[in-house]
Amino acid sequence: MTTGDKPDDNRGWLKLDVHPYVFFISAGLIVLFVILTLFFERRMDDLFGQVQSIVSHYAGWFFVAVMNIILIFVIALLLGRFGSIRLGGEGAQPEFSTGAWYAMLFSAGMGIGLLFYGVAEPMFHFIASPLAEPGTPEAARVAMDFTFLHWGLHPWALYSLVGLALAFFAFNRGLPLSIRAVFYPLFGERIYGGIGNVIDIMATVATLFGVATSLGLGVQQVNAGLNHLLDVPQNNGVQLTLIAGITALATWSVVRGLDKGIRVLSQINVIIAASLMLFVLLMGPTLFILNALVENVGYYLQNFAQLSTWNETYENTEWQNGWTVFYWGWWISWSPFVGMFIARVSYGRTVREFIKGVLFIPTVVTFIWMTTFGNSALSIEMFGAGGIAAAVQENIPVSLFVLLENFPLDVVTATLAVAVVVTFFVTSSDSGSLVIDIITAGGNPEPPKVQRIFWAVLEGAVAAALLVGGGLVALQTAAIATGLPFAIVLLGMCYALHKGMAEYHGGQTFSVALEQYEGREYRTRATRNLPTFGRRTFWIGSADQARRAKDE
Amino acid sequence: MLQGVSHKFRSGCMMLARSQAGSITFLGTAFLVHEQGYLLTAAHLTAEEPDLVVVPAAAGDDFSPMTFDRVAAMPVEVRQRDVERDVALLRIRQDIAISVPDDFLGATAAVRCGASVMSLGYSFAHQQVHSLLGFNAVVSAKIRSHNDTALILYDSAFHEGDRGGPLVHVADGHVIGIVSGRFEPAEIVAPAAATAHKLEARETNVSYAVAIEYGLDLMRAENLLAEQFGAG
Repeated sequence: MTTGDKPDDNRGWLKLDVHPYVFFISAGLIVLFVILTLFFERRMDDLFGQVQSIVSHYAGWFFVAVMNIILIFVIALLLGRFGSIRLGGEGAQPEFSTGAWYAMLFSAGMGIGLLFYGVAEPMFHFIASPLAEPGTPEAARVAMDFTFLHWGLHPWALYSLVGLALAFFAFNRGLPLSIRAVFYPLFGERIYGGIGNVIDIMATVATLFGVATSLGLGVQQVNAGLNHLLDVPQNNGVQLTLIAGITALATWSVVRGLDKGIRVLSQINVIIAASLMLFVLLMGPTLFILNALVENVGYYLQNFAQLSTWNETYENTEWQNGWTVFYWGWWISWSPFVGMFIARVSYGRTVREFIKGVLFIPTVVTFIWMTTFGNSALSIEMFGAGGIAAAVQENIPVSLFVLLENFPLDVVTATLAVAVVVTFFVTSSDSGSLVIDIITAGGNPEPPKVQRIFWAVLEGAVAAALLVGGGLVALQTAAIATGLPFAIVLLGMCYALHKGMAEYHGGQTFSVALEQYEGREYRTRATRNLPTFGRRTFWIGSADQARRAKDE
Repeated sequence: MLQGVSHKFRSGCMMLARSQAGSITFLGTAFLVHEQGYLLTAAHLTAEEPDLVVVPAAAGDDFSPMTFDRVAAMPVEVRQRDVERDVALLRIRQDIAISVPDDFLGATAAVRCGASVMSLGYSFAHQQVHSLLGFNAVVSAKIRSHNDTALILYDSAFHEGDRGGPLVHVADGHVIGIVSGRFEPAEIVAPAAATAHKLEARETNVSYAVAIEYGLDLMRAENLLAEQFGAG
């Protein structure tokens, strides 16, 4: 019975609670990376470019394959016999209402990226389409299709897998809330040894670089916004200052124990982001957006199999390296973070509810977001004043603000957009460091704060180092390079989760080690007179008496 | 499905007996609920609290002898007992490695009338047949008795040796009741209607089990369950 056993919680008295190998090796690797980058600044730039092209050239197909395998696996779980398993066991009650749960799922997944790429990505594909004549209606259609591919079912299937695996092994099997726990069906108790350490170190490093990539994108976005609003120059110096400032803000919130405040802030943030979207929807080409939403979904479904397995084999180009492969790597390296968050809020859901909620709801919301921003920009570019495509080519993060310029009150909306990014930044840094802290503390869900501050600072340092060492290319490289080893872990995770659920769902039996038993032997005999038992009282008295007894 | 349930629970079901001077007298069935050697059974089997023992049996699907002349029995003690609800929690007084599935305790709220259930018990051990028998049934009704006990009626014939065995919800493989006895309408009216017309006992083929929640309460009293468990 694992549901009854709770680990002793006496460790809180200690100042530090770290898993010695996982914490120090992960931290060591990451610090080493930061030092090397700062030391070899110029040469790191070349190195990042080379690593990116080598990994995505040779392993691009692998990322594409893994993402599709995961999607198929998750849909099979949705339809299969494990759908009725309840996370936390029969009788577990969900902590949050379904509506609040959906909101949290969505805000966890993407955050900064939506603002960074919402306008830029469709625009980019429109003017440099790999599969259509650039600038044509067909290019616009394909552009939205690629955007949907990168932000749609595949990433959310990935988050479903990681979240479900973490939740299942923690809530139903009583294992620590850690990536290594997922591999219990494969390695048994050995997960507490070397293999488990390696898995957790990979997860830690991937998560840190995934979060740092987001922070790097976020800081470029904030810088572009400030440039747009206040003419602050866009360069590394300003961005490093911003990273330092926002990281300090995140650290301060951890120190002051503002977890609750942060949570409220992130809810307000989602509301502001939603209002921003509504504003663009209403002030922008509303009819065009609504038409496009329906058509984009249809086109996405129509070309789903082809596009999601497309490897530019016959085109023989390298277009995917900067896009699909980057996204897959980024989502993969980001997945322990999102997965952990989703797991924590999904106690008491059945597997079927979980997958429906995590796979479909955020996908639909993302589609609405991407269509609103992407198609507004496309509309302006194709039928209106234009100018967004040129801005995107020049500087990706500025594209959102160029779009907002086309609508009234653009100073207000641009300020709101910057505020949203800053808040996403603080909350990502805050919760990202919490997740890494949990993993490096051996799965303790309430690790000491000192460690969290350490990780929050380290995330800022890595983001800064990546920006210094090569900007966007470095950020993309970090995501791809740390995503690759973790992609292999994810394949193992599919197998382990299936095995774990199969055992849970009926393969497990009771067992008694009778060979250990050397007790007394007895003769058996037939019962001559059936023993008379104690009187059973269910039937004594009448319904009236029972009612009276109850009333008293 | 039924096969799966039988496979899952077979080795958790034991014969409950009273030991007397080198021989044992069979009482009924008890089933494991915790890896520390706890078992649930019907309280009325343990009424006299004599030298209780449990006897694990061959678990496999091979043909096994129907009678064992000698068996190895493990002493058990009564840890919790609720006579009103007819459940008792026993513990094996012996260090022995036991493992239980992660997921086998259920809630009666999840069970609807007509649901497929399976009961397991040493039906004929009084008659020296030391085999565990499985029975297939549906939930006939969910009722509250006069003393406000939640009972599950199910349509399979009852044998003396079945008492104290588990009633398992086939759909999810969770124990939802502890088998208590044959459902006898005559038994119900008899005390109240002693002066009125006398009903003849009918050998119904309906049995009843008490809701697993009463068993879970006993487990909770021994701190064997996490707080949230069984809240549904």
